[in-house]
Amino acid sequence: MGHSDESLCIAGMLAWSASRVATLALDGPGDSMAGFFIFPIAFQCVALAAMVMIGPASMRSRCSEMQLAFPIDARTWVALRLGACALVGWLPLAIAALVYTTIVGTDILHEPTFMIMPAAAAAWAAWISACFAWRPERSRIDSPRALATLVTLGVGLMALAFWRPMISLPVSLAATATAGVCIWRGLPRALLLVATSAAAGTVADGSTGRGAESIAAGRDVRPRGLHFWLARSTVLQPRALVLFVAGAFMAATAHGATSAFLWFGPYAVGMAMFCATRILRETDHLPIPRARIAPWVFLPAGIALVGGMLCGSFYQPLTSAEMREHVDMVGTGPRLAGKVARQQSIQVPGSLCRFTVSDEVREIRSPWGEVARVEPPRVLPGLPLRIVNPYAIDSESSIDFVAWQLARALHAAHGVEVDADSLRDEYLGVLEGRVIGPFFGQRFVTAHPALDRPARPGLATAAGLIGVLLWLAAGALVTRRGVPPRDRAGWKRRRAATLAMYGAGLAALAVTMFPFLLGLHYPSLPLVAGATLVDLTGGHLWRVVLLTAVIAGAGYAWLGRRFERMEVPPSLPRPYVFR
Amino acid sequence: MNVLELTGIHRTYERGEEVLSGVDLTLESGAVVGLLGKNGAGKTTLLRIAMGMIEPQAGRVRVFGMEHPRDAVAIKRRIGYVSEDQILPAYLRVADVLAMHRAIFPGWDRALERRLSERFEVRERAKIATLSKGQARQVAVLCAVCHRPELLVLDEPAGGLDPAARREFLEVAIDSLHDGGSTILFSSHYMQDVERIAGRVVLIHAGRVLIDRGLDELREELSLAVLTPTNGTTVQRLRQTAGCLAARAHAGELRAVFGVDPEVARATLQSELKVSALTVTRLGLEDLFVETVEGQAR
Amino acid sequence: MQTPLHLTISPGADAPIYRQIVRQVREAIAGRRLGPGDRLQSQRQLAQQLVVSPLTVKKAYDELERDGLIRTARGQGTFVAHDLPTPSRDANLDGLRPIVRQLVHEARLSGVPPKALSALLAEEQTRIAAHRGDDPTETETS
Repeated sequence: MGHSDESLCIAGMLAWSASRVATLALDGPGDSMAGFFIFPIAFQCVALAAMVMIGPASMRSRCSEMQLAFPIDARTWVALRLGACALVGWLPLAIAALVYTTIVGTDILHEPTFMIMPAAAAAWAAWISACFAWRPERSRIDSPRALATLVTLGVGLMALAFWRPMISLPVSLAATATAGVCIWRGLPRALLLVATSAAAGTVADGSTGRGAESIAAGRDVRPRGLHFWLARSTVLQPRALVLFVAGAFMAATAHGATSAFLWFGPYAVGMAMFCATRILRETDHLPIPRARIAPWVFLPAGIALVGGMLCGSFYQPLTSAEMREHVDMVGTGPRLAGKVARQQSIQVPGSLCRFTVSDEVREIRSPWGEVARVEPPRVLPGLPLRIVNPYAIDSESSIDFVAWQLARALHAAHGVEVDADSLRDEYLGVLEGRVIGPFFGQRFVTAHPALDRPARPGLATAAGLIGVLLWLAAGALVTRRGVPPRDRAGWKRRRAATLAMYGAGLAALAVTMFPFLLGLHYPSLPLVAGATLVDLTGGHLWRVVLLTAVIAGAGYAWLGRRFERMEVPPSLPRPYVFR
Repeated sequence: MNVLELTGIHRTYERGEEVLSGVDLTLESGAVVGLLGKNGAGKTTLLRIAMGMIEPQAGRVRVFGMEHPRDAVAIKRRIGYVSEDQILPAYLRVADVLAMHRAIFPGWDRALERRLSERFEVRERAKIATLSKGQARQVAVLCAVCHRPELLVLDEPAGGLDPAARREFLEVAIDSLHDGGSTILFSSHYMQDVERIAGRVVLIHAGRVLIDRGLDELREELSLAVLTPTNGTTVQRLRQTAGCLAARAHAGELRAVFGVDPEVARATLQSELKVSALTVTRLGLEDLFVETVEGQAR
Repeated sequence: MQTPLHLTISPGADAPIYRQIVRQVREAIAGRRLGPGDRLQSQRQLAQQLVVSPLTVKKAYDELERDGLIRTARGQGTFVAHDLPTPSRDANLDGLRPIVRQLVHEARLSGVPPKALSALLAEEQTRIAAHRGDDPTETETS
């Protein structure tokens, strides 16, 4: 059961890494580029460290007990394991980078911050190697001191990579080489098992024959009851908590990580709700009504998801220069090698955009009569849904027009009055007949700190509604196990429905979280949806809140009913099942 | 009032294959019924249906006269459940688990808990994750038995335990039968344990009940015939003989189980199949199981 | 001085467990190891000693009581009956037939002639009777 949690985590990390590479390829340059690459690497390391520290024993194993019985020597095992780590960590990044460099033709390699990547990679490799070098003849790392050392080492190397990549690269490579030599020489023919905790632990202190004493001692122990059981099985899982906190920390401090909150919300949902099966297995035979367990399974996840959405809408990272929820001049379309100027457009926070289904070309008229003709871009190829950006420019727009739109956008988004002419003179330029604003966002926000305020926060409530809908979808997926159908045809129908649910869910997640995966450039869709919704309700936010509350309440009742009918399959025949 | 009534139970796997096709089982108060069957025959499924953990696609389930899932909680309060693959939360201590059970089951017998804890030498401060398989099973048994349930549902409770632990478990189960308290429904692969404690035996095979008889009756009335195969005597002919429950070819012999005692079986075989060279004996439960299950037509 | 009665059962043996108990008690009574008025273990105690279901023990005791070999006094315990029923000779002879048949087969296999077998039989009877302290005139002679 726990394996699926880990798979989810790894899948999330892979998707995240790949999306970040894509962003790098497609985005304009800027300091935040560092964030785009470093964040996934650093997140992987923190996540792995957390899993190794408090995760299941299998995470700390070089190989499992069954594998120890094979006639394969230790060196092969360790090489395999290291290789697997490297693959899982780096393959998606490498593939994405390769694709964009060769097929799409972007010039990633000339990005200055791209140099950080090898340094970070080397640091990562050094850390993993060090993990394997510790007591190499054992099949598992079990000493807490060892783990603490390794984590510190890893974090230290990461910090070095961010701060001084040029130093970090040789240092990390040297560390990797040293660790590699240690591993190679320290490995015996066969790995030894680490003594299991049952033998090494409490059996020694509570030896047999002390039944009476143990009862007496037991009376001093204040037992923790059902609520602790439920909480510990759902919300307070150490792995989930650590990853949640790590994700939050990174979201708050790392470059280029604004929508991180939008990401680990679903992760929290996964951890909290996919434990539903486990908690039901533990309590199915006990006279505990399911209605009592349901809140523990669903509510924390709902709170995490909605909270994550709201935070993501409100919050800007402390050190981020990322302008995604600010006004920015960005290039749209892939940045192809050899071409400097792409089609520029003005990007505004999602709250200023709207959805539409009509594809009529809109005309934006300036006070002096210049017209820009903008066709609203599609959200997804094939979908009829489009986004209208009232502050768009077209390829023919003059520099005055651009400046005028920018000034309007800044005022609308941040409530700041900026003179269009000064904007034009300070920040805009013309290259190859096109208006460009390189490094616009970065310089602009440092020049006008007032712009650091996020876009109209009231619209975040609409993001809450999106969060509730995602929560209900995840809940529906988790509680899909009712009585199995009577025959094979029924099973096939149900399987198709489940796959469709998964597919739709993934697609929705992808489109809302990673729109830039598709090479399209527009603001975060939940906020656009929110703004549209607020318009539909006549601008009264309380209606949106009410709608959200009603849907949440009805949805929870529905989930509760499904939860009552849920059947858990019997656990796999393991001797005693612990995770 | 019968403690348990299962009528016409049908249940399929996820993929639509039937695991139980029309199973009936009734338990009266004080009965001790052993469920036998090959792995995957549906014993666990049947027990879980009785517990209300899963629903049959067809059929009726009544426990203590009440129905799942409407009265599920009231039913579970009067049942003690031990399973081979039971999950106890790893991070809790033994004392916590016991306290939790104490809180949710009415009628918890503290004195019994104390007695059994001493007998098992249970370490209350230990975390579940550090217990061995036998010790974890002991904790599960404690939790199931100490609230003096009217019905004990045991799914391979002694699976994987050493003989001493198995014997100890048997003693605990037998103690619970005293005072006319409990009804026991259990599944087991250890035929010797089944012989010791079961009053009735139900053999499930291919989703149906093959045998549902008192154990003593079974031992006294069934017999095993072993003969050499010839042109006249084949497995099919044997199966058609009156009174034959199962027949198979094995290591050059034909073996058949008859539902009549050895003398009658011998007479039948001699008259119907004209065989003279044959041996007919009584058979123990383990052989009964093997021969019956392996001797079914595929 | 009587030895206390220890029963054993074997789960996989030919006879069901209750029958093994009945047989052993019968033999104990027949072999004078249990005398009239002697106290037997309570059902609960026997079930615990043998590690078998109390219902099995109950079944065995019920049959023994039905045959008049034991009686249960409520609150006092189970005792061997004072007035043991006289065994019906024919029923007992039929019961012994399988054992005798096996004995005869074994003798034939080992090449022991019938006369030697009868002599062996008489010898054993005398020895057991002497061991029991019986009046030799009580023994049935063939």
